[in-house]
Amino acid sequence: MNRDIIRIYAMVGLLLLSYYVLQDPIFREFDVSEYEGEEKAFYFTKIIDSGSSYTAEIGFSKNNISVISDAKLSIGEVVSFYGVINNGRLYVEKYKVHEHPYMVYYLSIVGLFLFIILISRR
Amino acid sequence: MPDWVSHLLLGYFVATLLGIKNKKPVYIGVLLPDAFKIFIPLMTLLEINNTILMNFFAPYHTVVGVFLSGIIVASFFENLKTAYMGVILGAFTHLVADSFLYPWGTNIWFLWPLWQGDPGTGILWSDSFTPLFITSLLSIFAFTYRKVVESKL
Repeated sequence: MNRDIIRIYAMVGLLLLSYYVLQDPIFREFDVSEYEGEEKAFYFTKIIDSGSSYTAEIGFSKNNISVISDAKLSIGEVVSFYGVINNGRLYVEKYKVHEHPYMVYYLSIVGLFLFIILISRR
Repeated sequence: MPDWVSHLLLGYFVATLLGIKNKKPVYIGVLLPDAFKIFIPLMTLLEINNTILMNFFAPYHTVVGVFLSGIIVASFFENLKTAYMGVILGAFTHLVADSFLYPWGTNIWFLWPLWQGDPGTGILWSDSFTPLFITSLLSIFAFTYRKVVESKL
């Protein structure tokens, strides 16, 4: 079969998959009320406010959640939380403060250069 | 995701153990599921909603998406079948490595649309150096193994 036709079929397949996901999204805007009473993990949230509770910004959706925790956290820290959602707040059972949250991106830039070197070798 | 260095080293390890001579398709396959992430900073700058963007590109990080995008990549190689096998092998090492992330559980959508559950296999944090350390050791082992095999031939 002609390679151009193979590419077109594959691209149409990918576009159909993407269209299907846009109709029935995998990633949704976070609505805390949907998870009332449930245990849930939030990875790599950013602390944007502190007081009687913490406010954490969630991932790429940039939604916020109120977090109740004994941990001593400061604004700007990147923290993963696991806990129960009650009355629209996350009651933390365990947490992890990320010391180097962006290390994966820096290493991936190194990886990209490594990839270019490996691919361009004869 | 573990970082791309770890992914590439894991791809090198597997390809070397399997005796694959042309590793370029494997390296491309290794980064293929994450290829769309290059667009994310650009889209952020253009203020396009990231949720829509993530959903649009989400299928590329699934088994089905890898099979389809792998065809496009492999079609640029002279030997389509061999290249396709290499790309798929590389992409699968990527997806398997990613399944070890998220220690507190999460929905993994690699097998979407067939299954989108929590496999409970998460043991590593994505900002951990452990994957880099382990894959470095594996790569050194594979490199030494290849040299020993070549010296016997």
